[in-house]
Amino acid sequence: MNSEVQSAIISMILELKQISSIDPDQGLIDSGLLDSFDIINLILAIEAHFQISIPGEMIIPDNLGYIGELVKLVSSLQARQ
Amino acid sequence: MSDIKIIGIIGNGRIAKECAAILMAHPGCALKCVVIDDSRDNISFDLRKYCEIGGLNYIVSGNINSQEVIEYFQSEKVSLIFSINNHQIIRGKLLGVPREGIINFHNGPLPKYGGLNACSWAIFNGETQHGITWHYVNAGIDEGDIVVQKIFDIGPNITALQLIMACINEGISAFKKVVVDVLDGAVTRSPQNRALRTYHFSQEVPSEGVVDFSQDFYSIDRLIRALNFNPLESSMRHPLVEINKKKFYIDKVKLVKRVQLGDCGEVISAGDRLEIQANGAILEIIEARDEQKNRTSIKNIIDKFSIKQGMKVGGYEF
Repeated sequence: MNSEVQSAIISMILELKQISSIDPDQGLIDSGLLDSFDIINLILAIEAHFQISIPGEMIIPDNLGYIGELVKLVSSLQARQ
Repeated sequence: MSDIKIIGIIGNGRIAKECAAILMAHPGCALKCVVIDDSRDNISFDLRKYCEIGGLNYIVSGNINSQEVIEYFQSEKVSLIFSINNHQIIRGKLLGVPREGIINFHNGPLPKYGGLNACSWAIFNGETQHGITWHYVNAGIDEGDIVVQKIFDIGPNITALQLIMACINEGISAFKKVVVDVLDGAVTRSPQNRALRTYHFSQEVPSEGVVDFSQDFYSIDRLIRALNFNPLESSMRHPLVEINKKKFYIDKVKLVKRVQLGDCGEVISAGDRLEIQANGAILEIIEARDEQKNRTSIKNIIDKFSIKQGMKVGGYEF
């Protein structure tokens, strides 16, 4: 897993939710940590930070439920560029 | 406050979840039934997750007027239903199920902007204020008596998605008053002035979604912001233009200078930046999508479509 991407995403989630720590394996949606507004704000933050565009059809819970899935999504979009 | 009211919700999304939480926390009511319509978009998972985590009784239904849904509410003797971000029309028998009626959330300042895509139409029309309305549901669509309405200012650069999110936040805030009024039996029902009513159907799209460079910058900018749902999929159309008989889409423009250097639609600059002559001003296309509607850089658009200075960018004939 791309550790730089993971650590950047974790930082964004901590800032977004104003929390001090998060278990990287924690479910983001299933646990109720992120709601749909949080997802939108997180996507915007990820796009700005990594200078990528996440296609709308990829913004689905299956791609966003865990930090690992977000890292995969970002890495695959970076690889396309 | 007397008896505990048995409440039901039909809806989806963040606003439905937050309103459910407000109801759950209130000692004067019991939220017994939740009907989730999850057909609308990919990330409206909030209410379902809230129910799952909180152990709240819910069903998912693609047809809220079905016998199954009616019997679900009847079985719990629901006396009042809140319709919150529910995209299906409530009809017939269901209207008569809750003794105290059904109260719906609408993301527009009724009687103006009834129907669908209220936020997009408000931006397109250049409104400086928008609003949300909690209203009773009757046999019409968005026509029932108003319970609570909140009007608020909107910024000059707001996009459709941003305005939808603002409406949701205003709606949640106003719901607290709705609940207090309902539970205190102090609801004021204000009939809508039908003479002021405006309404849009789901198939209607501002300017058919086509950018017309013979218009002034502000008209073009309003159309583009009205159809901008980034980062989510557009629920309407992406603003469309045509060059070299190929289509591409615009997500964002900015005003460069109020000057007329060429014909409307003429490419003024296609180097590092893509500047187009509108009526009375030059605008720069800042964000765009290719033919497949994938967001891409302006450089890619210029290269892919072989855009050169002096070319004409036009509208599109459906």
